[in-house]
Amino acid sequence: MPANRFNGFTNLGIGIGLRIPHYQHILSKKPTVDWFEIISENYMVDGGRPLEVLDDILEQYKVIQHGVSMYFGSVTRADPEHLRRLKTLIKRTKTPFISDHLCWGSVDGTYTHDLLPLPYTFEAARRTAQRIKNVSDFLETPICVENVSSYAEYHLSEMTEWEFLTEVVERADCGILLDVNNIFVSSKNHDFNPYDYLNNVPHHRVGQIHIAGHSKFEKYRLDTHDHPVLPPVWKLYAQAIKLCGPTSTLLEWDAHIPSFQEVHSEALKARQFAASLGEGHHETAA
Amino acid sequence: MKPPRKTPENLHELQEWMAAAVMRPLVRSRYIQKTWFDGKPTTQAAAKVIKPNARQKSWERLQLYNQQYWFRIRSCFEEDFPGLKSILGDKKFAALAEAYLRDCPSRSFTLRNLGQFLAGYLKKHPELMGPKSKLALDMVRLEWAQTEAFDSAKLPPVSATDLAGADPNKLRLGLQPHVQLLDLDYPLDHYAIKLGEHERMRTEAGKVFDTLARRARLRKVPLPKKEKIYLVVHRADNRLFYKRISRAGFAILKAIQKGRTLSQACAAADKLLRQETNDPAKTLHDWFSLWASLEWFTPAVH
Repeated sequence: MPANRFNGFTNLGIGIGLRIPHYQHILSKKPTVDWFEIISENYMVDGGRPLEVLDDILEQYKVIQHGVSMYFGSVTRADPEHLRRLKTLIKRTKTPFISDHLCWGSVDGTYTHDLLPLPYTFEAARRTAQRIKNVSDFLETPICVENVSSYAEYHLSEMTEWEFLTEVVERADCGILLDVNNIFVSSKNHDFNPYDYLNNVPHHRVGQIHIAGHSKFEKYRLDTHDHPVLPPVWKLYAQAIKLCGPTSTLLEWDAHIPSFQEVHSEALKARQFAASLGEGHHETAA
Repeated sequence: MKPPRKTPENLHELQEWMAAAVMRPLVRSRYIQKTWFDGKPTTQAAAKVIKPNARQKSWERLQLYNQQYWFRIRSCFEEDFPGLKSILGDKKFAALAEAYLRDCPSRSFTLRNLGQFLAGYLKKHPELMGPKSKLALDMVRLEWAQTEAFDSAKLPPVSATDLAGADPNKLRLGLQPHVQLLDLDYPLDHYAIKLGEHERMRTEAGKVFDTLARRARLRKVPLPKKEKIYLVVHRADNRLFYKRISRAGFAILKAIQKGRTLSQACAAADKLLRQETNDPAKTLHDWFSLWASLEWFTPAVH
């Protein structure tokens, strides 16, 4: 859904990630961009150049925070220092919502700094949902959880990934950051139909969509964010927009980053899919 | 991570099992170890937890996460310590990185803190640095100081005017969190600047070190000869600088950092100061004026 309580009733259009190689271009040329996504952890510091750049960006642009290490699925409790710094940053950016991944990555205080897949069990869904609720309550900010690309599945799993995602977000009453590239990558790695995934998640909870490029290897696909979006992912995106309505969309490009113009042009391709739906599909905030 | 004792049956056990597997060192820096923690084949252990698919066996899927962990963490470590790598050379640096990252895995939500325990760790394991251990350890201290100086807080400063009217017997000051004091046995400020590609000189603040240089390809630079220096790594206009100070100046700033009053801090360095200058009062006045103009002082928080 375009604007809903999970994304702070915003429908911002097409965004791109704020990345260091583009700082100079953005600050000097001030290009027209609907919004920027920042990786929260890069700005959860006490001072210096990162915050100076962020403040300059905030004067000109809307910024949405996206995290990479909240690890909603980790069994051990969230680091209070992490939460405190995140809340401070939220006050600075005034992001209408935050997002992070439906995964785990730390245990007993040790961090892998990876987005590790969860077993799709009711125990994991219950614990993860509780943690999302706790974090959202502390931050006083809506949360959208993002489905990750995965390269392994566990024997412990009791349901499909899309059933698990649904179970978590319904229990937590939170939003979804639907990454259609991740759906596609996982579908190839785990031999399922990506449209089964897409058709069976609660569309009314989708607060934002991610698109990205990925890499094909002989035996698997890797979510590398270093290419333009591949045609089957655009096709999946078109279906996502059809099901969810025109929704804030972000292009992720994190490695071998080309010029600002190239990244932005790739992102703006997403507009044609929203436009093709016509005016009848535009919805207003509830 | 502790080695997993059994096949996981619940979420916590699964996460401990998976973390131990993912963070286990690779063989020849590329492949998953063939033997599991209990001495049995890794293929068997992986098959009990990870589902295979038509193209990949369980251990191959586990290996992918194992590889991604090490590729990511080593690359981040290398980015944080390019000077250490240039001193030790590729091979020794790689072995040190693996030992440190194996023994001190990240305990922070941010990779910024990955190297926070390195200096302490290397003091206990000098063999990892070989014959250049003192030089290498100095470089680790400098590179960690840069990380701290880059994004630590800048608090409202105490001005030179505030200092002029204060009673030195009562006045206690703090140092800005970004101000890092180092006593080094090697002139690594010059060495690090020569390694980088974006350096330029600044007169009052010191010598600038652009963090972009950390990502740039490093030049081949002769290793420095032993020479004791006292160095402040600090930030001005959100850029990093090195500023050398004298031994007496270092002693004074250290004493201030420890919460001594101004007069106690100066008294602690009195003997050194008299060795360094014929006019201690003027020297102190000049130093404090400069340090205050660089906004190094904050109100005391002790």
